[in-house]
Amino acid sequence: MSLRNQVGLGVALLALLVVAASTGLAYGWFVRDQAAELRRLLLEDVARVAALLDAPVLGAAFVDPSTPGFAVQVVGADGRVVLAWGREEPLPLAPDPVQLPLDGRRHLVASAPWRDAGGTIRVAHDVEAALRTRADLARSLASGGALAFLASTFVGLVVARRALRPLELVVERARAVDPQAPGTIAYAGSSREVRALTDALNATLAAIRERTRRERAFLLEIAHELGAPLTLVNYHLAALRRERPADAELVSAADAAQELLRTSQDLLVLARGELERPLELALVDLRDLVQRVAGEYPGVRCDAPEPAPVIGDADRLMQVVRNLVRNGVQAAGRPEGVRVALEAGADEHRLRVEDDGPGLDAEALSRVFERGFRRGQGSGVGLTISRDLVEKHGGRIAAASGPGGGARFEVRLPSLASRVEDDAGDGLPDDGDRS
Amino acid sequence: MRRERVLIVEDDARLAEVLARELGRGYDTVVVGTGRDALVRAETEPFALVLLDLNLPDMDGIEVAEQLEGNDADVVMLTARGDLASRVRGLYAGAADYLAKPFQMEELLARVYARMRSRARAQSGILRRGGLTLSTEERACVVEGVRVDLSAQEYHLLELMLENQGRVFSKDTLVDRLYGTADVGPNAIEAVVSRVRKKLDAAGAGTVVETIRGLGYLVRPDDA
Repeated sequence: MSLRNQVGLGVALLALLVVAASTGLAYGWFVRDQAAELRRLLLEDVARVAALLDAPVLGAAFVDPSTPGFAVQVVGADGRVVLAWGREEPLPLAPDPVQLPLDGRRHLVASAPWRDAGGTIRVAHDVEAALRTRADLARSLASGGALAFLASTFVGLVVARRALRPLELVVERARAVDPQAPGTIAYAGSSREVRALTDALNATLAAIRERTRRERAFLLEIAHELGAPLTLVNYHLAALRRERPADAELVSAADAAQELLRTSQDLLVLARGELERPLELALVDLRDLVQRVAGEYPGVRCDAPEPAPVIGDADRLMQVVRNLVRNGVQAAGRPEGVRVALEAGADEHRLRVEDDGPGLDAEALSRVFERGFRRGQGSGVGLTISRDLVEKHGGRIAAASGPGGGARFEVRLPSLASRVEDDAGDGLPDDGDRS
Repeated sequence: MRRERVLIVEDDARLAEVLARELGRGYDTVVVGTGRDALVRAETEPFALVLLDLNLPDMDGIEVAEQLEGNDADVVMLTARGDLASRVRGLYAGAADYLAKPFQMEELLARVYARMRSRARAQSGILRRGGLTLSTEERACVVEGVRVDLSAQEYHLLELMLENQGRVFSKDTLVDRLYGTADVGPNAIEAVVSRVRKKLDAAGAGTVVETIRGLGYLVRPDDA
């Protein structure tokens, strides 16, 4: 249950308790006082009638017969009614006042002994109206209480919502924090608790930033240390390899050195935060890139019959193609197991890299672009970088199972033709800022 | 033909030697190991290109790059710090490039050759694209032998884009390069491009400056 509803409900329950207790108490007091008053009036009348009968005053009437709901009877010892005002049928004997229905209306009846003859004076008061008033009061108290309960529930919810709004705001801002570059969460309100929460979150974010910064600095330090030696080892081994292509051990060492170079380049791209660097856009022929990469991995089959011009960052697109081919060579275990096909289209160009390696199961297919996902001997970052770069170029990348059971990666990039404004006459790029 | 001169600024002696060997096939090379030496040599001798390692023992490589800004030489930076390099590249606006270490020698050579080619193109005094010719010394534009009158801004735009054929220029970049201030909005660039197009079209040069939707403008090289 949300905190808002909990607070609202709590306020409502409290209000219910208060309303119930106060109305119950008020009602109880009223009932008690009313009952006492009715009883007192009845007993007074009984006493007055008895006094009148004992010492009649000339002209004084016991009752005004027209008074509705008031009856007086003098009953003899034999139970016969001797005198009756207001009602003929005998009233019951009631030394203590009792309430009973007479002719469908509630009456309070009391009796007192008359003289020593065993006769009695019996008086009845119609209390229907008084009792109805009591019921009316109960009803109005109940409906008033219910209204108060509803109103306080509503107010409770509104107040809770108001009070928790800063919290929701902080939640929204915390959600908006970029995990790659966590900033701070702003909160300028006056709620002490929310401020404490925001401060705690910001302290955590600052710690994350600091750690990321240190990791980056460390990686850059490594990069600096490894940069020159890796470049040299790779350079010399490549030169030796050209001289002695039949030397299997040398070729293997040169391949490994090149692999090491490419892997550290991938890692450095991440360490430098280079994915955030803006693209340097130019006219690039994907066919050139594909052919150059295929040349770096002799044995890879390359099928790129047509030029495939795009607008892109040549270095980064090269890295994408290279990562995919390298990934395929690793999966297949040899360059001959990799086939690269470039298909130029009107609106988009498709690059497919297929390998005859062990392939990817469903779980691997869904996670293959995640950072740190490892396939075979890969470093686990190349495909992540590739996806980021392809998407930055307005393209898409997908992994699937290839026809031969291996893996197939497909990159689609918008063609140059699809990005050139058809009507170049007005000189206005259609990017929505013509105002 | 006179060989171009390349200044190699690299404190790793083995790497410097390899770089000198490879670049020495096409250029005269000079190797220095410190930023101070680099600045002294670059100021007193003409170089076509400075190959600059940003991590130097005596001073910050970025500082060296910044002090080289007025120098005629192009700069190719070697660094593990891509963020720094792009800052300097912004400073040079087109005359600087960078390569991250570690790199394959072919990649470095390709970059150096590309810089040298565009340098040669700029220095020849003639920029060509299809039937369009710019003479940079006379600041003249000729289409199929007929001269086209261009305003200073129009000429500047065309020269910039013909020097960098194949590159996409955003309107912001063009504002920066043509006006150098933020007072001018992208509309001014749209107007200049529009006038250039009309004049070239009227002279029969066809579509030279193309609009790339949402990104900017492009002059395609003749072979693409």
